[in-house]
Amino acid sequence: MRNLTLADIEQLRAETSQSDVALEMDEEAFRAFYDRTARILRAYLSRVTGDSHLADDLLQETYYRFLRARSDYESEAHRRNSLFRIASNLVRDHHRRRRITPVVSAAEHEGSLADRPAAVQTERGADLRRAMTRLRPRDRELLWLAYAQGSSHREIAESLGLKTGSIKLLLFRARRRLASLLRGNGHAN
Amino acid sequence: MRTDCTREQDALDAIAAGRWPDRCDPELRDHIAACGVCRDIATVVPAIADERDAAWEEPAVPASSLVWWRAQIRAREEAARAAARPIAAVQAIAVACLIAATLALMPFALPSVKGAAALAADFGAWFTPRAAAVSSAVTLVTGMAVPILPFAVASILLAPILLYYALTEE
Repeated sequence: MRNLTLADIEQLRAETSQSDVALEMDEEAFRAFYDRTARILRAYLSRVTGDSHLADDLLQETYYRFLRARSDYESEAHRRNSLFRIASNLVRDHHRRRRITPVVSAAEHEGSLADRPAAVQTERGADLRRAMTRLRPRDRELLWLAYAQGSSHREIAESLGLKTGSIKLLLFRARRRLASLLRGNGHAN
Repeated sequence: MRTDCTREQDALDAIAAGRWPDRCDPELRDHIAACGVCRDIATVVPAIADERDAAWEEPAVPASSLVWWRAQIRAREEAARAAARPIAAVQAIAVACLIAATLALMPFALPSVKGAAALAADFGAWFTPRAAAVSSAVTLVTGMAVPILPFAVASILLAPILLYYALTEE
């Protein structure tokens, strides 16, 4: 898609608003919600998929599906968990498709993780990203939600479509796998 | 195998407060060294927290107005596609009905078609010997040699098309 300037966007927005299509949120509410959640969601998608370009695509798709979903949200937390649930389902769909028609090899996948600013690539960060690629997608999702976002077991369950009671055990197993991978990379603690 | 520990939250609090590992209570440090559950936490959680901090330094997300606009465009396209679906279905049904009706009427229409074909053949047989005479007459009048048969066929074929364009432009 070509690069758009802010003036282009404003003009297109004006044209679009003349014949708005029914989405499940008005623009002002969406912008406020987006500003609160987009960075967190992008970080989640980027670390769970291990691919920043894919994360950008999935970010757009997640918000689109969120806007089209006909749901009554009880609270901000519910709305946010629904957003993460859509994102997690998209990630899972992506992994399922890739398993059927593998287009990116494991080495390329790790390579895409390295395509980031050098300042960000601390040794520990690189080790973690490498280890994360060797985990199952669900384990990555669990660990990121629990320890990067500080989500409660209930929030994780809602975001991933799992039972709250099973989170503790799943998290324990995911943590164990990641810890052993990191220790294999020389992480003492 | 133990899947949880009563000191799990203490370990998480120490990590979150930045006390782990250097400023951590020695007793908790000893516990973490001895407990598998807490040791895993001490290995995994600081690494993920660092990665989260690194994630914030990455390029900004697209503007909300751009995401909103793209969603609007896509929703409109989907609405248009959804609206066109019944029209396409009706057209397909109409074509199917037309084909079915044609096939059903074929036995009744066949004698008439044969009759029309015979009439056309008779006309051809009558016209062909006279075509040379008509052509010579045209040559005589206009001074140009016109191949009359292809000209007549082309006129018959093109006339409806030209008529259509003439009428639609109006």
